[in-house]
Parts: sequence; C-alpha cells; structure tokens
Amino acid sequence: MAVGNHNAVHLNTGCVNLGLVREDSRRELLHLLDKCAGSKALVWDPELTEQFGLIAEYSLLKEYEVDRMFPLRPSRLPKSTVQHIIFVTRPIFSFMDHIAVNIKKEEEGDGFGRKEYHIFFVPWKSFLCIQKLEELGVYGELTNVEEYRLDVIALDHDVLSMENHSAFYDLNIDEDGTALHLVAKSIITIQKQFGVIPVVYGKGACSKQVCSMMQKMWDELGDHSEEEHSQIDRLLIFDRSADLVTPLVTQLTYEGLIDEAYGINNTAASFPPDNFSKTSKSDDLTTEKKKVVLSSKDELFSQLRDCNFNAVGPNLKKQAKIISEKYEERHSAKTVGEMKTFVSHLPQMQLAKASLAVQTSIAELIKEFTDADAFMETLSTEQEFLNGVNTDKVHPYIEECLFQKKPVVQVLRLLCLQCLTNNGLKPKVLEYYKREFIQSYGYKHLITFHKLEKCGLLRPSGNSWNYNTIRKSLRLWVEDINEKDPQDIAYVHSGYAPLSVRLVQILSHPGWRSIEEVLRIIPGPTIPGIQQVKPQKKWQGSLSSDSSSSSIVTLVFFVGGVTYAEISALRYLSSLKDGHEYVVATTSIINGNKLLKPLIEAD
Amino acid sequence: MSETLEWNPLGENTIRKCCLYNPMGWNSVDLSKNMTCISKYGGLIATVQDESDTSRSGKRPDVYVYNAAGREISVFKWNSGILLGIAWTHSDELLCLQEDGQVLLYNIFGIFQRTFTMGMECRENKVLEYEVFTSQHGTGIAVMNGLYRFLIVSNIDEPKVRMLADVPGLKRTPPSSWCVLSGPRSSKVLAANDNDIYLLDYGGQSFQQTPAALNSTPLSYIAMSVSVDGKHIVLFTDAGVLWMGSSDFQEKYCEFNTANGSRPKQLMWCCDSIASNSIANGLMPKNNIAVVIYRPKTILVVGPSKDWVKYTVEEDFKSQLGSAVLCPDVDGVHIVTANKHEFLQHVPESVQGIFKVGSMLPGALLNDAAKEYSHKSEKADEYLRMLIEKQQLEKAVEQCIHAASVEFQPRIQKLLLQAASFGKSFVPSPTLTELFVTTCQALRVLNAVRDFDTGVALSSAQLKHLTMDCLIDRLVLRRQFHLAYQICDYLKIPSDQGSSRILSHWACYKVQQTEVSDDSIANAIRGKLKSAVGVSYASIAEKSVECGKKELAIKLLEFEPRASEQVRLLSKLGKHTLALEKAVLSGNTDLTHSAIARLRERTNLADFLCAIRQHPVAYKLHLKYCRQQNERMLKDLHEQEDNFIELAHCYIHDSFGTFRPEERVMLLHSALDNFSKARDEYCTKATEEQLQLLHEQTNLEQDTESSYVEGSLHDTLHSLLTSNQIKKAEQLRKQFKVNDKRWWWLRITALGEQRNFAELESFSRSKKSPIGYIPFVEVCMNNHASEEVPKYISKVTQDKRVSALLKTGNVKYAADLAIQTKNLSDLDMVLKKCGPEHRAIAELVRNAMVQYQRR
Repeated sequence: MAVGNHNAVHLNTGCVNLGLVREDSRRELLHLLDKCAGSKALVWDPELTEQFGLIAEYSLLKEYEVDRMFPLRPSRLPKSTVQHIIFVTRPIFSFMDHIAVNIKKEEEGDGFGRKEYHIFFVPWKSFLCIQKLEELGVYGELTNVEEYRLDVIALDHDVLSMENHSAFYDLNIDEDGTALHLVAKSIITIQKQFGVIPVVYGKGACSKQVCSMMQKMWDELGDHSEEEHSQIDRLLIFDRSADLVTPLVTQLTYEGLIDEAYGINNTAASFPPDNFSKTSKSDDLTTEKKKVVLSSKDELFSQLRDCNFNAVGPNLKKQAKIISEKYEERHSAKTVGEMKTFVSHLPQMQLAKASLAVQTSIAELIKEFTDADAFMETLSTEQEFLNGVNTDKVHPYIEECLFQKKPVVQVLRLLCLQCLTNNGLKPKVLEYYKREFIQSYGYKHLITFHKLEKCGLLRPSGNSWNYNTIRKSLRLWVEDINEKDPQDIAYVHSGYAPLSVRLVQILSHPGWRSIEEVLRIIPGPTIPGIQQVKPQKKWQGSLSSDSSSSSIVTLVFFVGGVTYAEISALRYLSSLKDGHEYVVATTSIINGNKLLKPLIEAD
Repeated sequence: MSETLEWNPLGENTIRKCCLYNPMGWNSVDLSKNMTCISKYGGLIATVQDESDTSRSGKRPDVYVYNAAGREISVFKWNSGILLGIAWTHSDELLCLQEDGQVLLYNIFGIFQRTFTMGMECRENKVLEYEVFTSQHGTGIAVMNGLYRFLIVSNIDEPKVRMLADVPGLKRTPPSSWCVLSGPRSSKVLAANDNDIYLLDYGGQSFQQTPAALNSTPLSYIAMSVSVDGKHIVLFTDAGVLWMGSSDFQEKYCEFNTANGSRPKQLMWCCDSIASNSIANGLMPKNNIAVVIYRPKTILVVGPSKDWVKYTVEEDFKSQLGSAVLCPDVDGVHIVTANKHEFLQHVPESVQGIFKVGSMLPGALLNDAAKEYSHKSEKADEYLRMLIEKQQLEKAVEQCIHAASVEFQPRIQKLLLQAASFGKSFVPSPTLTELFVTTCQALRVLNAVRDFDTGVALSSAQLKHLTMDCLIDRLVLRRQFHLAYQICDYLKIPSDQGSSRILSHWACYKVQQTEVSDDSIANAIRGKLKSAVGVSYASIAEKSVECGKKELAIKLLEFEPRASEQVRLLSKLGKHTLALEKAVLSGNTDLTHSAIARLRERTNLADFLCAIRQHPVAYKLHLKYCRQQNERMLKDLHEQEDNFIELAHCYIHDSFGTFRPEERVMLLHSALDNFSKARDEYCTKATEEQLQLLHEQTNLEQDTESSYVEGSLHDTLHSLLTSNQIKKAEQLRKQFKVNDKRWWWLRITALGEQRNFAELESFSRSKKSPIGYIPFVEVCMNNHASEEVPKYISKVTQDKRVSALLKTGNVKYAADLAIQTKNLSDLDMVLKKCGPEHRAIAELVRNAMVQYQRR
C-alpha cells in the first residue's frame, strides 16, 4: 500500500468536505508545473515527498512530464536528459547551499543540452533564502522562483495539518512568529473555501495574534462578499502553550499508541517487517520496514483508531468472527443466485481480511510495547502526577531512570509533567533534578533546561497556573473509566481528560462564561468570541432544533500541535450527536516525544 | 424633413454629413497654415503652426490641443527639433515627429511622456514624409528619409525600427506617391515609382503590383490611400483618374475620371469598417465605402459605382491652401474647419429605412404610427395593425431603437425612442426591453460625453467597438473624473473597476497639486476614498513620489492596507525605520526580514543596532537569522544587550564545536564569566564542575587509549568501572559528590556487564543497598544469568518481591507468593503478566482476587 496510490475519496466524507482543500492544492501544483513546459526532474526536500504524496500521486506528476525524482543532496545530481530541474523545498538555509551545489555541478558537467532551473518554495517564498541564493551566485540561473502555497493538507476527513513541525519551537524558543502568519494565512485559505466563519474564540497568546493578523489579511484582500453561507460556524484557536500537560501524557488510544511507539508521519507508519510476513508472499528477503497507511480509507482502522487500546483486542476478535461468518455463508449458499452474490462480495471480504491481518499484526506490536515494564511504570507515575499525588518531592522512578540513564525524552516527559502538575517545582527539587540530569547526560543539557524553562515546561514554583484547581473544576481526572464503552473523553488517557478538549467541550456546553475563573489561571489571554460576520440562520435554527444535519461545526485550530489522543477525544465529542461537530486543524500532529525532541540539545 | 436634410444619395446608398459642433469653441484658428490632426474614437484636435512654412523667424510654435468641440485642453511651446508632423496614437497620445527622425510622445495635457528615434539614417538624411497608421499591435509609424528609403515601426509602444526594401528603379526623384498597407501580421509600404507600384516588406523584398483591369494608361500615380481597415485602396493618376479596388489589387471596383490632374490636398476612404468587419470576410458589401478627395473649396465623394457627391467648403481664410482638415475614423470621416466639426458617414441602414421618403419598412411604419398617435389620429391604429398583422412589430421596435442609437441629435434620438417605446408596449419581449434600456443608457452616456465641454465626438458604433470601460479610461485620462465617476455610478459598474478605480486616478492627479498643503491633500484623498474598497494607496503614494512629494507619500502610505506595498515603498523612500515598524505590525515575518536587511544595508552598525532593539519582534527575528548565518553578529547583539546567559550559551555551543582541549577550556571559561556576570549560581557551579570534569577526562585520555571527553560524568564513571579503574572512579565519586544510589547503580551495572557475578555478590553484601535488591535481579536477568537471581530474591523486601519474581519470568512463584500475601495489586500485576500458556495460574489468581475482594 504505497502512498502513491493514495486515493482521496475518504476526505470527502466529513461534515465539511476537506477533499476540496486537496483539490485546490492539486490544481495549484499542476498550474505551477505547467509553467515549465517539457520534461522535468523534481528535486525534493526529503520531508516534502511524502507530504506531496497526499496531494498528487506519481502517475499524475508523470502526466505532467515529471520523468525523474531525486532527493535534495549536496552533491551532483544523477544524470538525466530532462529540460527542467525543479527544486521543491521549504525555505531552509542549508537547502539553499545544496541547491547551489547542484546547479553549479550541473552547469560544469558535460551538459546534454541546456537545462532550466526552478525553485518551488513550500509553503512560502522566503526573502532570506533568495538573498542567500544571490550570495551563492545561483539566483540568476533560476528561471522561475515560485511559491507553492501549500497552507494546509487534509490528512483525513476531519483533520487539516500545516505539517509545520518546528512551529512550537519557533514560537516559544526563537520567538519567531512566522508560524502565526502562516496559521492566519491558512485560516484565510480555509475561509475562502468554506465561507467566512462567523465567530472566533481563542485561548493563549498565539490565538490573539493570529486573530489580529487574520483581520489585517481580510483588510488587505479588500472586498469580500458577506452573504456567502459559511459551512463552519465557529473557529477556536488554541495555543499549545495553554495546555502543555496533555501532550506529555502517554496516549492510550490505538492510533495514539502507534504514534508513541512507531511514529506516524503523513498518515503512514513503518513497522518491523517480521510480524507481517504472513500477509506479503513475495518479498521474504526484504528487511525493509513495512509501511502502512493509516487513514479512514481503511474501514477497520477507522473503527479502531479512536478506541482505547484495551478495547482494540475485543474489537479485532469481533471483526475476525464477522469475517469468518461471512466466509461460512458459502456453505449455506444453495442456489446459483446465492452463490453469485457470495462471489460478488468476495473481493470486499478479501480486502477486509487483509486489513484485519495488518491491524492484528500492528496490535500485537503495540501490545508488546505496552507490556514492557518501563511502559507500565511510566504510566503509573504519570497517573500519580495527574492525580496530584507525589508531585512535590523527588520522584523515585524519575530518579531511577536518571541513574540508569534511560532515554532522555522519556525522563524529561515525566519531569516536565511532574513540574506542571505541581505548579512548578520547589527550587531545591528542581536543582537536584538538574544536577543529576547533567551528571547522567552531560553538561550541554544546561541549554536544554534553559529552553524547557523558556517555553514553560519546567520552572520553579510560583505563578498563576494551578493544576489541582483546574483538575478539580474541569474534572480532568475521571475515575472508573469504561475503556470499552467510553462515557467521557478521559478514556483516551484511561482517566485523564485532555485539558484542551475539555475546554472545547465546555465551549459547546454550557459556554466559557461558566468557567471564567478557571480560564484566568490558564496561561494566555482568552478570546471570548469575536463576531466576524453576522450570525447566520443556521446558527440560530440549530439552537432550537438539534437534528444532527444542522449541527454546529467548530474548527479547532491547534497552534503548536495536537496529539492523536486529542483528535480522538474530539471525534468522541462529535459522535455524541449533541448538535456539535468538530474539525481539527493544526500546525502539525505531535506527541510528547515530538514536542520535546527539538528542545533537547543534540549529541 | 429635417432628418434627411444633409442626406445625399450615392449609388444604392446614402451619405450624410452630420454637424457635430457649430460654432467651435476656439476663437480663431487658421488651419490652413497649420499642421493639424484629429484622433479616432473621440475627435481630439491638435494643431501647430507649420515651421517649414514660416520664414523660420526663430520663434518656436505653440502646440494646441482641443477637444472635438474646439475647446482648448492644453497648449505648450514646441522647444525641440524641427517639427515635421503630428498625429494621435490609439491611446490618445500626441505623437510629434521631428525632421531628424526623433519621435516624441506627449499626453493631451502637453506633458512629455517618452521618445524614440527612427534611426541614424533618418538623423543624417532628414525625414521627408511620414504616415502614422493603426496596426494590429497598436499605432505604427512609417517614414521616408532623404535617401527615399522607408523605415517602419509597427508598434510605437515597442519601437523596433525596421528598414523596408528599396523602391526598385528609383532615380534621384522621390516615389511619386506612397502609403502604408497594414496587414494582419506585418505592415508594409506601397510606393509608386511613376506608373510602377511596389509592395515593400522588411525582408528586403519588393513585389510589383498591377491594378486589375486598368483601362487608362497613367504616366504616374500621384496619390494613393488605403482604407482604415486595410481592405481597399485608391490610386490617383496624373490624369485625374481614380482606380478603386481591393488592397491586393486583384479586384477593381471602378475607375473614375475626376477631370483634375493636380494632386489633391487629401485623399482618403470613408467607410464603415466596424460594420464590414462584423460581416464575414469575403462577402463584404461595397456599398458602404466611398473615396473622399479634398481640394480647397471642394470635397468630392465618389462611390464604388461611380456615383459622386460634391460638397462645397466655406474657406473663411481666403487661403488657396484650403483650411479644412479631414481625418478618417473607423466609421466615417471627420471634417474640421475653423467654425465647424462635421462627420461624414454612410447613413446607417436602420435610419435610412425609417426616414427615407416613402419607406414602407417596419421601422418607418412604427415611426409614423407613433407620430399619428401623438397627434391623436386614428391612423396610428391603422399602421400598428398593419405591423401586428405582418408580425413585424418586433422588427420595427428594434429598428427604431437601433436608429435612435446611431443618431447624433438628441431630438431625433428622443423621437425614435418614443416610437420604439410606443411599439414596445404591444410586444412584451424581455429582450427588447433589455435592448431599449441598454440603448437609453448608452445614449445618455454618449450625449453626456459629446457635450460641448467634454467634447468627445464618439459615434454609437465607435463606443461599441471601443467599449465602455475604455471610454471611462479616456475620460480619466482627460481628468474628467467627476463625469467618469457619475457614469460608473449610473451604469452600476463594480467599484473595483469603476468608482474606486476612478477615485484612485483622481487621487493620483490630486497629489500633483502644488498650491495645497500635504496635509489637506492627504485629508481630501482619505475623505473621498475612505468608503471606496480596493484602492491602492501605494500607487497614489508612488505618484506622489514621482512629483517629488515624499512627505505626502508617507502620509498616504499610512492608509495602505497591504503591508508589503507599504513596506516596499517606505524602503524606497529611505524610511527604513518606519518600514521596519510597519513590517513588524503586519506580522509578516518575511517582510520584516526584508525590512531588516534593507535597514542593515543603508545604515551604520550602531544606528542599525539602535533601531532594531526598538522592535523586539524584529530583534528576535534578527537574532535567529544571526544564529544560523552570522555568529559573530549574534555575540555582538547579546553583548550589547548584556544578555550574559545567551552569551554563555553561545560559548558552550562553541566549546562543543571544537576538538582542541585547551580551546574548549578557554571557551568554557568565557561561558563561566558570563554566568557569573549573570549571577546565575547554579549555572556557574555547573560550569565549574564541567571544567573540573574536563580536566580529569583530559588527563584520563592521556593515560589511556579510550576517549572520555565527550561523555558525561556518568559515562566516565561507567567506563572507568568497566575497565576496572575502581580507584580512579572512587576518587571522582568523592570529587563530584556522586549520589550513593547512582554509585550503586553504576557499580552493579558495570559488574553485570563484566559478568563478574562473584564480585556482584560480595558488593551486595558490602553494605545495605540504598536502591534495594530488585536492581540486582534486573542486572542478572539483563546479562542472562538467571541462576544468580535466587541469591537476591530473598533480599528483596516483601512488598517488591512479587514484581521481582515477575521480572525473572517466574509467573508461577510470583502467583504463589501473591496469593499467599493476599495483596490485591500484586495479584493484578501477576494477572497482567499471564500469557496464554499460564491459563491455569491465571484461573487461580482470579479466584484468589474474587475471594479477597469479597472481604
């Protein structure tokens, strides 16, 4: 199941048709390719290849005379006879150096006919990169320097992502607001597609900035018709910094655990191949990782993804039973007609069977992951902290991890979680941790600590944030979670209800006015609802009649990243059919590891 | 009937001379001594005294520009070279050709726009004759220089001069006549060398042309002219004979003897090229064309079927040279004399159909019916019935509407529209209503622009061809902002194409005013444009810069909503700090980076640093840039801000970048300095310890082969312990006050890795373990020594024993123990570890749990 064959029908099934976003990006890409008539080679910023796979399959690019594809490297390009060489890259300095090397080497080579060079910057054309290209003396060689405005990518029928993985770091460590500008631009793009969203809410410093940038951008655009009926009723901009607890907590949903254990990138994850050998016949010899696309295109996965992992096993069993029962039907098929219907269902059943095999293999791998002692101990430590227990002293498990030099990320996740649940650590405790940490992992982590403190993940006690108050008043800890038939969003962490999603839930029922006190102790300003345009009839109508067809659609934009568990929690809220549905947009999809890794000084 | 007063039959057709303006707005102009030109689509008139005619007194002439009604628009002194001729371009610019081949372009207000030259050869040999023509690409110009060579520019907006082929057989005398033949792809020149005609192209080739079926035998062609659409040509022979035919010379329309062999003052076509263009090519009717010959006092019009009409021209200046100026337009000919502006055209078919005496066409009947109706005569009913019976009422209404649209006099327009309106009430047709409304609107606009003061002599056909947008543009060019604005408003044109655009143009003009203060101009502009959407203040500001009003431009830029434009222009104006401020406000970081870069380029370092620290956002962005591209600058910035912690971090980074120990030490000392300056006790201490560690590590590296420097204290101790340097390790343990628990972990892990289980056991006995005994169990398990485990299990405290047993994989014992101790959480733990092979154990545990839970 290669990304190239990615079919996009499943994007159209949500309450807002996100397939349109993909269509738009596709059109723009082809329009750009059309500017270079003739055979082309695309030279990729490695991170972009998979992203582009979500927008245009290789066969389509081929139709547009893309004959070759190379990864961008600081060496000579492989020989080719194409007329155009197009560099597709994010605006990153080191890549400009690579491009310069590529062009210079290509020009001094034997050169079968002259080639034209182009750059497509994704998602924005950067002044500094162009300046850099000028300094490197290759800017003049470029025929087209274009901007491919890939603002948001539809990852699934209810998830849009900017795939900007450095947003949290840029915003909080470098204090570089580029990501906010891009977020505002994305929201404008979304509104151009689906209509001006009538009301905007927000929490956190970023939300306010994005809001004012959006306003300015509308002004710049000038005339815009207001009659247009918006398909999205409310926008909530949520700054990750307002809830740093949630991403640190281990995700216990199926999809969340896959991400924690193997990492999901651009809707696909790679697994060790051994467990899958049964399903693929020909390639026994390959040691290459098995890549699986994880999206709602796979019906079974879309049923499993949001379940707590404890519910996955029974679910898979049930599926296996259904499939085998269906196969059994062939015995009961007596007449030719019955036989015929059975046969006509066969391809579908085989597909379901294959999918079941893949998901079962993945579930086995996840089971191994969760059965490990370290996982269990980490989980119970997390739960202690989330319950407000043992948060004020040096925790023996963290200490043990330090002395055993367990992976840095694992230790820091717990350390930061303890700090946040204790409203900052006592200076003595913090200093002890720091000292032991440096003795274990080295002096350079002095800088790591500085960064963690800068973005509020680690700090000495004493500020307005009070986890216990928030926990109690927003019911962030829920006892007696039924993991198989959840009654609250807290099932995604087997007890802990993500703060971010709880706030979304309260915004819908009964509204933020009821929790003004709590909102005040959550960092950053609150946007209590700005009217962009006059509320529409749909809005008012749905308050009186809560038929699901007219439910209020809220776009929740996470600035700084969202976890799969949070997405699952929002899906759970949508599934309640209480007149509210949610669409998620984010700078990127994160987990605790992805959040912390950029902050940790590399070896 | 007054409607047909100026009508003259011309073969099957009728020609009329409509009076557009009488008298003219000017006081007295002697056109006979002037060079004069009239523009197409609007009839602008420019006139200038012919310099070659006066005795070159040294007094330079004035160029006058009038509207079609003779009202002065501008006048400017001609100060350049000797003027050979003037002509209007397709975009209403005045083209002035000098004798030396220099072409200068002015706008209608006499403001110089741009210039180009027809080449060196023209400069050296003087231009003798010229023709300005309309080609597919725009306006073109062809000249003949003193060497009788032709040079041509087919589009003055992209002046590329091409030389045409020489006229074959030419001997020291100029061609007897020539003209430009503008084709769909290229423009060529037709030139006559006495009685031979050649088509000259710029491939250096010439092709002889022979007029088809020529009866007379001329000695020489002394004049020729091609119609505006390039389809027809007329040749005039020394015997006074006209040969009219297609411009490819293949078809003759007629030969006509004018009985006057002298060269006419003007020779041109009067034809309706708009109508003929709309008819399919090749099937062109020849009845809408005629040749116009002007000689002082007479205008002779000759049709293709040899019919002719002769008009007398009142020559008020008793000049033998003739004081009228004729100029062909796309659907007729402008005739301007000192006191009249007339338009010669073929009477449009619809008008003919209605007003021709005895016409029984539907339109005529409807017109009559309407007239009778207004006289309260029952005949109205009779006519109407006739039309209805023949089902021609619709056609009749259409004819009347069309006829109204092509009439110049509002009185007749009204008459015809009344007739149409009368007829329309009996045929409910939405298309007719639509036509009626749009025609009324167009006429209202046309009458407004034809007004004496505006003086745009535009026919209805011309307007259709030109389009309304273009007309509005032209009004704007003429600074008729108010009228243009009203038209847009009247026609409900969307504001971005209509009112907003006109207001922008108005503002661009407004900023040029010199007598008003910047503030009041800015306020006036803001006042008028506030409610207009999509106005580009940047382009107004740019205009203001062009006029040298920087301050005003800056004021105007305050209103510009597009930050990128704002910043670009402010930078251009040298207002780099302000540009930076605006860029920061926009939130567009890329824009901010570009503003920072420009500021850095234009100011010295001190000023730059001072400016950038005013804007924290920009400052942070610049820091990031420096971190990636310019570390020296980064340290400078931190130094300037007394940002000791950041500075220390820079040194720490540097220290990890080098492999030379002494440099590393030096850099760490710098970091230490900065930490102590920042009074950060913890970091200072940590750095001191790191320096000590580095010292020890370097020494160790000298003694042994292994590498220590990159590792942490933990790593170093681990290496020492696994290589049996226990003493050294003990020394470091004391020096760095290593935590007891860490020490125990380190020891047992190292011993485990060395598989020195004997030593491990004795170590376990050395003292009570501060970390308990589970780690011993783990170490043994990790190093595949399960046989060692029992030694430690007994030492594990009661409450941890079950989990220790589970770690060894001994589910059975663990279960037994858990059941024995009746500990619920232990039982739960065991249950979780039970695989499919432990079904029996799991059953036992479950039973026990149920039992204990009940209690």
